[in-house]
Amino acid sequence: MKAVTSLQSSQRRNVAKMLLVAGIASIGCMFSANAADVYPSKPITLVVPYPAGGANDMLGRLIGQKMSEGLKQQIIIDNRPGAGTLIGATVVAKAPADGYTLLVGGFASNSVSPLLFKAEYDPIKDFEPIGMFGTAPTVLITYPNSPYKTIKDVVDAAKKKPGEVMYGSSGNGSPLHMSGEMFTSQAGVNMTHVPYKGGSAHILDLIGGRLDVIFDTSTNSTPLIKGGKVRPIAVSGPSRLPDFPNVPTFAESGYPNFAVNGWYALYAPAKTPKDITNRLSAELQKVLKMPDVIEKLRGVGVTPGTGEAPELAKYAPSELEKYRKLIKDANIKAD
Amino acid sequence: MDLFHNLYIGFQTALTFANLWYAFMGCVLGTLIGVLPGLGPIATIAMLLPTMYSLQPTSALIMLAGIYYGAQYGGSTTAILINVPGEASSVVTALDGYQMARKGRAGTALATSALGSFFAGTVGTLVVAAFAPALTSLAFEFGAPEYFALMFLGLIGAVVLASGSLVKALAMVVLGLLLGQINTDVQTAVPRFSFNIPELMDGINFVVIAMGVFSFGEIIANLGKSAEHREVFVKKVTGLWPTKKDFKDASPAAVRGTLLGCLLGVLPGAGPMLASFTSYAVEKKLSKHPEEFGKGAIQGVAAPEAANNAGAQTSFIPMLTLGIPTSAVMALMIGAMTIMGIQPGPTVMTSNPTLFWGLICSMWVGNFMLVILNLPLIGIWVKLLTVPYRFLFPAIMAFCAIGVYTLSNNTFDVYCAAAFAVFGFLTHKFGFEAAPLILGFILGPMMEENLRRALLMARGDWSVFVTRPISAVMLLLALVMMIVIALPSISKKRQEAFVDEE
Amino acid sequence: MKIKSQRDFVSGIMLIVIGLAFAIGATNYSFGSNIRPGPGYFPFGLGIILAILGGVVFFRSLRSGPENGDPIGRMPWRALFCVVGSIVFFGFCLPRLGFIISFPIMIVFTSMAGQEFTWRDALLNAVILTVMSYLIFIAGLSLNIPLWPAFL
Repeated sequence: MKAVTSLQSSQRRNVAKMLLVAGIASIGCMFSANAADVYPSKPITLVVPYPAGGANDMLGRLIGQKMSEGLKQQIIIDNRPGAGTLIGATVVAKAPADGYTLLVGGFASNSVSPLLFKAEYDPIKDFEPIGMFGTAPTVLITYPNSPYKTIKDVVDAAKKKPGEVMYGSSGNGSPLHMSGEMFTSQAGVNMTHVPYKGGSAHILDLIGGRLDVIFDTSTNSTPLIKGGKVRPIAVSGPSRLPDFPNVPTFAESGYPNFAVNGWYALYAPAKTPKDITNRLSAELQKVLKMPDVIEKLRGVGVTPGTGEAPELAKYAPSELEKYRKLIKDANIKAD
Repeated sequence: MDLFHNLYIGFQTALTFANLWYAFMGCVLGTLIGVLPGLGPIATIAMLLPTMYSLQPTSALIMLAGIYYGAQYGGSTTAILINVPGEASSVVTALDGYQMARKGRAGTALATSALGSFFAGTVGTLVVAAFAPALTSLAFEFGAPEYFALMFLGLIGAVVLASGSLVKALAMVVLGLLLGQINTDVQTAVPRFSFNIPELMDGINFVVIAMGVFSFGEIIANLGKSAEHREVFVKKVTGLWPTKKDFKDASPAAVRGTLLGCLLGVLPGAGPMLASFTSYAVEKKLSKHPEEFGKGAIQGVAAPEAANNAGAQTSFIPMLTLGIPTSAVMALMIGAMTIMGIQPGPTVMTSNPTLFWGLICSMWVGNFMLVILNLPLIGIWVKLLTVPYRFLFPAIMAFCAIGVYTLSNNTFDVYCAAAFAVFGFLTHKFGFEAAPLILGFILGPMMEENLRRALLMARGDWSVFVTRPISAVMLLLALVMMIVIALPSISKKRQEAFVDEE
Repeated sequence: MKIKSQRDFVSGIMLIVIGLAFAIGATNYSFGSNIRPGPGYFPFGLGIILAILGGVVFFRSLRSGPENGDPIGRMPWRALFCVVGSIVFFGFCLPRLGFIISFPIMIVFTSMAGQEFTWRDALLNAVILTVMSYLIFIAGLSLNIPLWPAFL
């Protein structure tokens, strides 16, 4: 037993060395928690309703790390995955409104998931908006040697053989799925939706030519397009993306009302004092102006947001209504 | 030769003092995490990310990779010592590894696992370096019908895993498949069997079932025996090092396991896990003494461990060549790359060759370090088993409970584990085996998803499974296997024939 | 009629019940068709198969079994209660009382499962394991585990 103890303590020493900064900082913060009353006087928990890894988690960590430097307070990332973000969002909706529990919310938690599944919170009323930190436009992609060069090619093919053009998605209710539904309804065509359970299998099936197209989020497809593994057909949004100046927008191709994009925003529980949300929003706005943050967001295909609360307060309800209508019209339901 | 030039660049990067240090730290930390039941590399990597931003990207990735396979090593250690498989692929290791430990051969089992993994890791690294692009196209060849066929084959293999009654093994597979049906249907987004509990919408976590059924169930059963009748571990520990005969038995198994692992590891999702299950089934079928499997056969440790580790290496291929993550750990690594300003994806190989080849070479360095690190530890681990059971079992319980909680910081998982503890005890009591259940549970949802996707994409044409060559071959293999299992007399005669010939 | 294997008799019944429960539950979901299976297709079919396999185990228990009737044997109620109870206790108390209080209690509780239980050993074990776990999980790995009671 003695040998075991000494071994573990030596391992522990190594860990301690490695985590010197993190460890000491966190213990330090724990003891100084009561020292001051000025917000933030203790570490802030930032709930990410996804497992570690993936765009949402990564953005949360990036923003959290930068904000923590400005707030001079630790921000702990708390991954609460599950139920299409409902579990994590519920945690924040029910947390004390003191500004110490925040949510990396967005497309799923504040618009589509509560429409598809039974949520224990109201996606608008139970949250205090802090600010949006990015949007990710939709990019219609296909495999490199596919016959589809333009949106017109896709629509023509779908009109000629209804239901035979297949688009993949990372699951029911994902932005990829919603894009497909919106596009087929606006173009008046019938395409087959092939859902996958998250992950990357749909991309492999596209590259392998088993799927025709994917309405992908730019966060996923930007590296693949740059590496020449998939070919972009069109992008959503008001203007072309700086990374791909040769790729037309959906609007240019005749679908001005096509607008589905991933969005990422910071939320506090409802009734959080205004001075706290203002403080957080100010910090978020500062972070979103940092050149390295802008560069990193753009690097993964995210268009940086402004971080202003009123903008988010207007945007989120409009998104919710948009998808409520789409889900009703397309008769998508989970029952 | 391009390959040698590339490896030269790689080793130049991997063998700098700083990178050796980070690889070492990663391996140490990974091993530590791995031996803590339930704690996976994901929680650790996520926690370490902030401290990594200050590192060179190459160093950070080398360290992350070190944590990843260090944790796998550690996971096998607990599977062998205390019957706690920390991840799907070490479930098989637990079958014979734990039995070896109970017979006082824990040292041999651990050494076999370490050496087999090192061999597999070396081959795996070479395969990644030499054949990454070729194996990438293998991943493209695999569509829904192929995945379904592969998993069907795996399930039939699961029945081979069992050493007892065939009907009972089948029942456990089906029960595992049913437990896997507790989830949200991929095609229609309907939550099934969730009773409006949001946690059940994503299904039960694998670790919860493995821990409940394997560890807790085993503990209850052990405690149920009276102290005089209970000998959980043989008091006398024999030889820490494998004997000449052990080497002779284990080596071919490790080689076959490595081959299987290299191939299957490339497939996203279930690759390394399927590799370890399949290699076990293969060994059991090839062995002249299949009855020893499940009772401490050394091949039953060497093959799945080698397969698992080879698969862990080649599972990097889709990430390296495409920037597509095949597991949560890879997703985290890609996230880390992005935050550090490196665009992951197919371009990394050309735009950042030192990082690309440095990472590949550090895989081998990491595997080497793990062997060096783990062989001396074996003596200490084995001593751990001499701790009186009244101290040992509460410790196992305590670490498992924390591990389960940290899976998703949710107490629901803890309650689930309690329920599966009862279930695990009952299966133990009634003479059912847990391994087929686990395999059914893991493969079930993927099988259903791929079957239904294959039918959706083929517009309901079931013939798609036999008209596609890869899928047809695998289904044929499954059929052959079923016949062999169903007619034990035939297989017995064949084995006798083999013996006679020699 | 005499039961030849009590263990198989009981487990056969259990499998039948579980299989039927899944199959009945699956009727809540759309069954789909052979061309396009729905969400209820698989759980229904698998439930039926499990019930059939359970039936095989059940009937075989009536026909063959070991000499002694393969009894289920004594249930280790104490071990079962303490092990399962302590896990449930830990799950319930961790978010409410925090790690520092619920963890050592859980260890003592679970130690009672053993027949060689003594307060001295259990308390000693609880202290050692709590300190170790604190150092590893909280100081070392800084995992998100509630430390102190929520009401403090």
